[in-house]
This record gives sequence, structure tokens and C-alpha cells, in this order.
Amino acid sequence: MTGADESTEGASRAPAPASSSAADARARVLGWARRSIDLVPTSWLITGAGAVLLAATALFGGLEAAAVDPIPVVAVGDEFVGSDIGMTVTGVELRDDRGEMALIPDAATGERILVVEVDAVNRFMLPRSAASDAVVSPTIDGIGIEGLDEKAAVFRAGEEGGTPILQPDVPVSLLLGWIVGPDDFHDGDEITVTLPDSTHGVGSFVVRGDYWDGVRVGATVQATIDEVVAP
Amino acid sequence: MRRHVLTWLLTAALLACAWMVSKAALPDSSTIEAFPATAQIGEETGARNLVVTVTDARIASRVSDAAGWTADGNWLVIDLEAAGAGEHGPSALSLAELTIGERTFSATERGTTFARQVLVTGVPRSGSLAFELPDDETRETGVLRLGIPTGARGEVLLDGVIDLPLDLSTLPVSSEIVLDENGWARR
Repeated sequence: MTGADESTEGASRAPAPASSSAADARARVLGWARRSIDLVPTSWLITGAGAVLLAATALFGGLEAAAVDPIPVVAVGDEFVGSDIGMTVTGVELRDDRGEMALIPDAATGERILVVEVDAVNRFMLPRSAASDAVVSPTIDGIGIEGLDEKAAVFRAGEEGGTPILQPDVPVSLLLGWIVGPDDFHDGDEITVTLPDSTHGVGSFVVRGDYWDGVRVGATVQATIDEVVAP
Repeated sequence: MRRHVLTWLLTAALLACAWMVSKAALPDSSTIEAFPATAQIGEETGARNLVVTVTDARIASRVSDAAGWTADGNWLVIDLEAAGAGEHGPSALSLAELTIGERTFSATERGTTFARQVLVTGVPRSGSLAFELPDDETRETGVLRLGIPTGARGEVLLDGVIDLPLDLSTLPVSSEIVLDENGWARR
């Protein structure tokens, strides 16, 4: 490589009249460029680069807080996919009758059950539980109601049993139940249901298997409470 | 010049070797994976702590159990007899998975089935496992895996499991199946 470089340089310096005009012009331009760059002090270059950087950031909003995507609002009956689970809130009811749900409100103090009806589809390739031990759950029991801190108990609609397991791509109708006080909610109240979203991760080294963390509110649903009066 | 060529050739060869090693290396989890024993319908198969005979596999659009629970859907029902083996230890048949393509389904927790049945060493119990599958499940081949998990996440690690390959397209289809009641195997 170096040998080749030397030979071309030698050629350009050689006073060969036939092919020298182009090479001469190139050398002159290069020399002029080198001399003009030398005229500019280094600190100017650094300052200039800084100015360009600042101008570029200013172009994209400067120190202004970056716009956060607003949390989407989903209508009752529309599906939202969060934590790899498709969730469709189909209704919110205030019930006295617990049905098949293993929730026992204290009738003496007038407690009732607030029920959120959800159709769920597991969009992941492994079966997943509808409930999680985590305080902030990424799965179905992470569905919450603004103003209620507790997690819901999750059941299959119209069926007795424990925590449902969501099989891949098998749709399930679920009921989420909260025991509420007699005056906490009323027929016709507008409530906000929050649907969870999270980030899927695969464990390596110490952790094994799939997990979902970074749980956040992925979407909200505005729903109206329907009172179901016990016959 | 020849030295340059040799250096580049050697570099390429080493890179190719490294690529092949990275492709041929087993995944990290392979050091703790289960040891599968392949079973066939109607044949007794044993793992370290488990002896299983799958007696039947059927597909139905409706299942019901002896207690009156019924459910519609796309169901695969597995009738089986299972007993513990070797020393007595943790013995619930909690690992019952069906893998079809990329998707894995676990035996349903609904109704009364053989799922999580506690096994007895040497004396087979019998019952039915049911798998709820999506409607669009193309009737391909799948693998049923049975095992007694000892790990924390319900996995069988470094222990025997029983694998039963199933061709779902050849299984008999009926409209309704009544699940076998859990009980002692009659033989």
C-alpha cells in the first residue's frame, strides 16, 4: 500500500508537462484549503460546533419537556392489547347477587359487588394466569378502577372455580369483582377503568422464563355503572 | 503479499468457525432440561418418578364432567392412567402441556379433571385431561408432555418427563365427551 502511495505522489510532483495540469490544479486547491483552515482558530471551530448542536436541539424543541403520548381512551366493547393480552371491557355492573363469584359481601352492612365484565384473549404463545402475585399486576387483575386501590378478584363468567388460566388464542369471558361499600358507587355513575400494559422480557442468567414488567396504565375506559337489582 | 493473503484467509476461517460454534451451541437452559421418554397411546411408559399409560385421545366440541360442569369449545380429551414410581415424593401430575407449533396449552383447570391429580406410588389412578384449544387450531401434530414438577415455576428440571406425539388430524371427533371420573385404574 505504502509503495503505491509513494509512486502516485512522486508522479504528481514530477514536472511531467503532459499530465501535470490537472494534478497541479488539485494541489493548488488542496493547499489553499489547508491554508484557509489554518486561519480559523481551533476554539472557533469548537464554538461553532457547539452552536450547531444547540441550534439542532432548539429545532427539536430545546429543553422543552418531550411530549408524552397521551394514554389512549378505549370505548366499552373495543379491544385493547396490553401485556400481550387482548382485553375488551363489555360492561360494569353493581350487583347484590354474587352468582358464581367467590366473593362474599357483608349483607348486614349493605356491601355490594362492583363487577367489570372483560372478554380476554391471551395473545402470547404460552398459557398465562389471569392473576399475579405482584402488587402491580401486568395481567387481568391489573385492570383497575380509578379510586379503588385493591386488586380485583378474577373469575370466569358463569362458572365456579379458582383463578382462570388463559390459554393462547382462546377467548374467555371474565368477571372482575370488588366488594364495595353501600354508598361508594351508584347506578349511572361514570367510572374510569384502567387497563394495564407492560413490557415482555425473557429471563437470562439468573432469572428464567418469560416475565412482564414496567407495568403502566395502557388505556382507560369510560364506563357507566349498571345496577343489577336482585329479584 | 502472501503473508497478507494468509492472514486474511486465517481470519475468515476463524470467523467462520466461531459462527459455526455459536450456531451449534445448545441454548443455556439445555444444562437443566428434562429427559423425555417417548410414549404411544395404549403403551405404558415410565420416567424416573412417573408411570403413565395414555389410553385414549379424542376431540370434542363439548365436554362435561360427572359433577355436571359442561363447556363448549374445541377440546382435546386425553384419558390416562398414571402412577408414581420409585421413592415417594412430590407426586402431583401438575405438568400436563400440549405443544402445537409455537403455542403451548396447559390442561384446563376448569371442571373436575385429572389435572394436578395426586398420584400414588405403584398404584395407578385414572382420569381424563382436557385441553381447550382455539377454534382455528389447524389439526396438526402436537406433543403432549406429562411430568411431576419439582421446580418452583411448575417446570420439570433435570428429571424425567413423558412425551406423547399426537397427530390431531387422525383423532376421532365427537360432539360431546363425558370426562372420566378420577379413580383407581381398573386392570
